[in-house]
Amino acid sequence: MKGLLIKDFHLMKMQKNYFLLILMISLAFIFSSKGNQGALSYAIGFFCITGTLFAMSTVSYDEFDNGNPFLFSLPFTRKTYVLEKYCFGLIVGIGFWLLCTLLSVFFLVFNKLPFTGERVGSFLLLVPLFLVLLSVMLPFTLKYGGEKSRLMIIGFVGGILLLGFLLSSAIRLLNLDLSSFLSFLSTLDYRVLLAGILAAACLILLCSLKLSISIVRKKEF
Amino acid sequence: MLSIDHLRKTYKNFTLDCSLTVPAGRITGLIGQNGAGKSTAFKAILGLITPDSGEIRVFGKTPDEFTVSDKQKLGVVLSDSGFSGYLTINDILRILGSMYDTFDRDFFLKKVQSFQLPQNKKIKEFSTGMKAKLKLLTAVSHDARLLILDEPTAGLDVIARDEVLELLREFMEKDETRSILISSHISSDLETLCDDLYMIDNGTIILHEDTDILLSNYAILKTEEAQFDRLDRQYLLRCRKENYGYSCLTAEKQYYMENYPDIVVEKGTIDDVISMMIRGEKL
Repeated sequence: MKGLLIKDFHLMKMQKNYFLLILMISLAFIFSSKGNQGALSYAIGFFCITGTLFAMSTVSYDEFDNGNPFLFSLPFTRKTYVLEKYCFGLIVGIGFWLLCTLLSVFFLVFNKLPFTGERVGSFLLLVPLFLVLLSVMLPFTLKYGGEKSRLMIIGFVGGILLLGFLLSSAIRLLNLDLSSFLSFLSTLDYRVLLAGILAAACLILLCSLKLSISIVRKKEF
Repeated sequence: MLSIDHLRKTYKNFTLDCSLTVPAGRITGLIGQNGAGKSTAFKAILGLITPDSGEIRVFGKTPDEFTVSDKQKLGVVLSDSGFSGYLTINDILRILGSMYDTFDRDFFLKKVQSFQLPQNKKIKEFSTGMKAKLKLLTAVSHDARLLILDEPTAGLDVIARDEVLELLREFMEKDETRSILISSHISSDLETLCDDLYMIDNGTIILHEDTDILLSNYAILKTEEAQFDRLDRQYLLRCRKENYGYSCLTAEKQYYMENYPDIVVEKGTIDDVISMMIRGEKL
């Protein structure tokens, strides 16, 4: 796996100018936020999502000029390849999140703006969101390749939104009362809620990993 | 070292059905036209595609049983695939060093210098010859036991081809148990390098012969119609109608030279043999 990670970091190195551009944009968001939590979370989320996209782009680089047949003749298993892509995605995504979060914290402390537990919670809430994003994008990218997967992901997200709309419509039509469930959630400590969301995201990530392994095992090059 | 028994893979308009063996210490060539099935056979050996039926054994193991350490004993060159063009030789050096326990960094760097390959330039900016040399260098730099080489000399000029073939000879000289399976459509490359040759056409092996026998015993008989009529046909492999009469492929050159002194007997080159085996008619 070490060799594959080295390869992906070398491939990502080429995009350092884009990385710097995204970092500048995120910094602009942070400095113009005036401590507004929504703006800070947006900046971190934006940076984190871009990091995930950078990680995904290595799949396209592997495919470039029909590179996959040779790559998969090298000494690693197909399972290792998938594990490496998830590890690389996590390293890059968490790394980007950590960098942007630290910059936000530094900005808050430097400007003597309030730095509360809720703020930390909001920053941490972006981690499960990133994990879910990675869980959705990687199987599609591995199955359909870098180019085609974008359309498939848009289709998938559209499907999820449609499902959400249908569910909410069904709830309204059936006069289901969810207020007791929502008020129960609001009584929970944000740390418990966060831990629950994080655990759910990890579970989704594991399911996604399993799916990706089976996709790559069946692939022919 | 490598054995394939009735490997079958069917696509829409093509079926591969081939059997071949590469013993230890031998260089075996696979020769055929573009689209004959060479690359499909190589991909099946490497586990890149799943055969419909048949058995492949490399070092006595099927592709499913192959471990990472088994894969380390293979050196691979694929005609239309290599390291990502966005990487440089310096990047590859680190990647190979991490992937192969026995990667010989000094040998690799020495050859990079002797081939005058730029270490910091992206591979996609390399010439065809540079790419081919790098591919082969990657395959021979980690003490592999078996090389699987699909068209390693494609697109190379004479000098570059000689350098590549020399590298393969060096590889074989280091150890008597090493083997190579190599494909090419340049018959002269295989003629000077291989111990035996398999000819593949339309997914099927149509001939397997030791290179020495192919070059010494095979011949093209050029006959007029009358000569053809009285010809003993039991040793004729293929015949083809020509303007002057018939051309016939035989694996018994001496027999026809002794018994039919009036017939023109030309030494069969590998290209002639392939051409006759594919285009000629079976008697």
